[in-house]
Amino acid sequence: MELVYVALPVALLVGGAALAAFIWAARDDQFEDLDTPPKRAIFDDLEARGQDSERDPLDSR
Amino acid sequence: MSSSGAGIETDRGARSCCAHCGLPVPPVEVRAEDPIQFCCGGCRAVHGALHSCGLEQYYALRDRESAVAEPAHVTGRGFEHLDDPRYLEIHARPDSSGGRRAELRIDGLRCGACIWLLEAMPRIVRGVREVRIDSARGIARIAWQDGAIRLSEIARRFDALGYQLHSFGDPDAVRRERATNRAWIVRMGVAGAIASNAMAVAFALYGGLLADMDLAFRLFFQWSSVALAVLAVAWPGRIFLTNAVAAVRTRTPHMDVPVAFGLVAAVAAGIVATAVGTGSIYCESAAMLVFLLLVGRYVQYGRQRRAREQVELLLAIVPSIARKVIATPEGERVVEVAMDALAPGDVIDVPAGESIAADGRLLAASAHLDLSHLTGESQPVRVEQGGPVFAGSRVLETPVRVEVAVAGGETRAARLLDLVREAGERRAPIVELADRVSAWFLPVILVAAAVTVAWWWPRAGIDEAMARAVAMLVVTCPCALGLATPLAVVAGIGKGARRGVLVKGGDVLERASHAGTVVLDKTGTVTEGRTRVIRALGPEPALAMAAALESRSAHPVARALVDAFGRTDGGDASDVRELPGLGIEGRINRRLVRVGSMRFMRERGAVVSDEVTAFAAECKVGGFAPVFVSVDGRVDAVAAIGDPIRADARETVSRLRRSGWRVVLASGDDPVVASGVAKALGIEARDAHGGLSPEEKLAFVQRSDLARPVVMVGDGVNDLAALAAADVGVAVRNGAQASHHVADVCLAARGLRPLERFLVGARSTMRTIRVNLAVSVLYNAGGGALAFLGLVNPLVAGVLMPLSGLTVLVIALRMPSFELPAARKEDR
Repeated sequence: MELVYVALPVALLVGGAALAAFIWAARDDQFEDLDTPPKRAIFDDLEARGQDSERDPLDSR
Repeated sequence: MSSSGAGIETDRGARSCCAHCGLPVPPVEVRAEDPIQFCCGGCRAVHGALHSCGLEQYYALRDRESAVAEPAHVTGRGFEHLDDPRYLEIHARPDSSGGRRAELRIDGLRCGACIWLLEAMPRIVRGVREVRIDSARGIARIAWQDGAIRLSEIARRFDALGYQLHSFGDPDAVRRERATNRAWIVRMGVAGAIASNAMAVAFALYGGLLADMDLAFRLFFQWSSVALAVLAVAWPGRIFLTNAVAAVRTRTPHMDVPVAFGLVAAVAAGIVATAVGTGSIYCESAAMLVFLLLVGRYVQYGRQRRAREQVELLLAIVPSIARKVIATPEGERVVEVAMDALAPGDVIDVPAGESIAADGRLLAASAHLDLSHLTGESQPVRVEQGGPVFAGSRVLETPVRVEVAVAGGETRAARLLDLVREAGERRAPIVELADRVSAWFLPVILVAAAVTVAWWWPRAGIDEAMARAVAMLVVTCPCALGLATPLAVVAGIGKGARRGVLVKGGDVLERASHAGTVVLDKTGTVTEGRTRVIRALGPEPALAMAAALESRSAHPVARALVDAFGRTDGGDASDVRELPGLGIEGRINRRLVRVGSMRFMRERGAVVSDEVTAFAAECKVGGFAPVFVSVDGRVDAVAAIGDPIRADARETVSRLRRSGWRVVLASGDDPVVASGVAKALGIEARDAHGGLSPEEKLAFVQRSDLARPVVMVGDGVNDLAALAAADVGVAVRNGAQASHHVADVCLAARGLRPLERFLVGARSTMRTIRVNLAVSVLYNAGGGALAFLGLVNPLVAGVLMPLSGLTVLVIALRMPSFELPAARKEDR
């Protein structure tokens, strides 16, 4: 049971590290625009596929 | 329409669609030799630009996004003002690697494909390092290599693709706003992390309550819990303490006073109990409370921020750039200058279709101006040489020159905007229901705690009495109460948004929750705001010839005729002559065609049949203007032109009246037209007001004899001040952009039905808030009773706190509804 004296502070430290990462992300303005990045990801994906494959679904129009 | 006979279809691409925007191609734009067609020069330019850069994939991406079809708008401006060193000094400081970075507002974003297209700029334009689009706010962040390219060149590239860059207001204010947002997110994240850890520790303590736990372990867990709670209250929760202190100092009721009281009581009791070694602690409840309340507050802050940012866009009605004419010995030169740099006496050149940047005097012989932005007048106004023109009015037909009289902050448009700002600030803030409840919440709890101590001291001793009083303070802490309003408001706003009703704040819903007065603007609000052919009489070929002739003119009447009859090819017009104030004449297939007023026909000695005269008289009674078409001196056809009333307007007005609203029409248009429209809508004659200037509209919504709340519904810049001053301002779809910024509510769906939807939703959301407040008061009353009886231990408190919040959340998500009651039979 004495393990708790070590485990609890360690757990809080790990949590604190995650929190520090979160604060860094917030200060880096990563939560500023939540609309555009998801769209960007789709475009990267489509562009990559468009270059790779012969029959590009996008050219079918 | 009586002229809907068999159309004369030609094979000259009569049904082709624009290759860029997909809209039908008008006959004048059809080029038989091209394999692909465009609806306008803008679309043609953008299509060419995309293909020359190898960015055709834009179209495939856009199709996936199912964007709204809209023709591209290319201004062809030079944007030289962006190269002004003073501008760059403030907005685009150089960085260490020889680049500059600027943030600009961007117009013309429609869908995700636009983002892709603009962010691909660095690949095709040398010197541009990076383009990042923030589509939610309409902002472009551009980084470029200093010396390799100028910002004006980049802006011209954007313009060629149909996107316009505008300089931003005060970059420091933007930076401050962003820092505040960041602070909120950090606060919320930290509070969440602490709360979850505190809960984890608390579970160990709850376990210890059930099983026997060593005192040493218990104290260890308790100290950990106390440390976390102190951290939660001192770091993210400090905002409640400072707010409470400020509220006490100014003696205003505020939610944060009971919150701060509960937080401090819980933490202080926790420290004392742990130090003494006996008693219960409620620290995890305090940490949880900080987190849940911060979530509610952040939601409120986010809405306010968006509203503030949009007010900044207001000035967009007056163009920020003017084309100044400079006389030099070699001749005239036209340079682009910022609007603020204009001085009285300067001469500016305004291309057709653009807005005038300053108030002044017209130098051209005459011009037709579209004043609908400023006055709401639906018909274009003719100004003679030397006549006054106002900033923000749009020039139709031909380019004109204007001698500047006043510019910048002194123009009529600028003063109107000042009026808007003042009206918005003067509006009395309402004390929100939640604050009214919390005003008596704290005294009640304090009295209850005092009664608990007084009752139990003689019976169970001071220790037990104090323990029960602390339990009561903690368990009645207004967590559900604090979440009740924001959650219901957010749920209501979310549901409204999905239904095309964009509401900017919770207070708006509260204001509009009971019946009062609805003030409707006419042009563009109850009418479609666009001149159209309502009815027509006569043979189709004559009307088609009229359209062919009018396709040479930019006059709104001409547009209406082209829209109605332009699908049929009327032939090629030659010798076209436009006679201002009368009409237009020209030759088509060697026949002389005239289109215009009765006066024009009479002056030219045309023969008018009785049938035509009778039809024209009928038009006038209905409030429409007749336009006559003569072919070889005989009037064959008439078209009734007017601004039709929206299809759902009459029914909506009658339904609103039935649910207790007084409906008033306030129009800037002619009083006769206004009362005609009011009659058609079923509005009482005493409630029809016409000929109101923007200032009179403002005074009208502030009249004391109108039943509150006053809901102003409008679309134009002439309604801005009234929209801002009314208890609730509602902007309709397709209204001026500025009206959307000022209004509290924007209707994204067509027609007036969404207005009723908003009023129904407001009432429903308000009901949800009341239910939520009642539920949270019940939770607190129940918890308080348990505490008084000594039945609350930290486990009960730890369960009650999130459970009450959860109940309130579920109610908020389920209840508010923007559904219209099903149309009843008697509505016909």
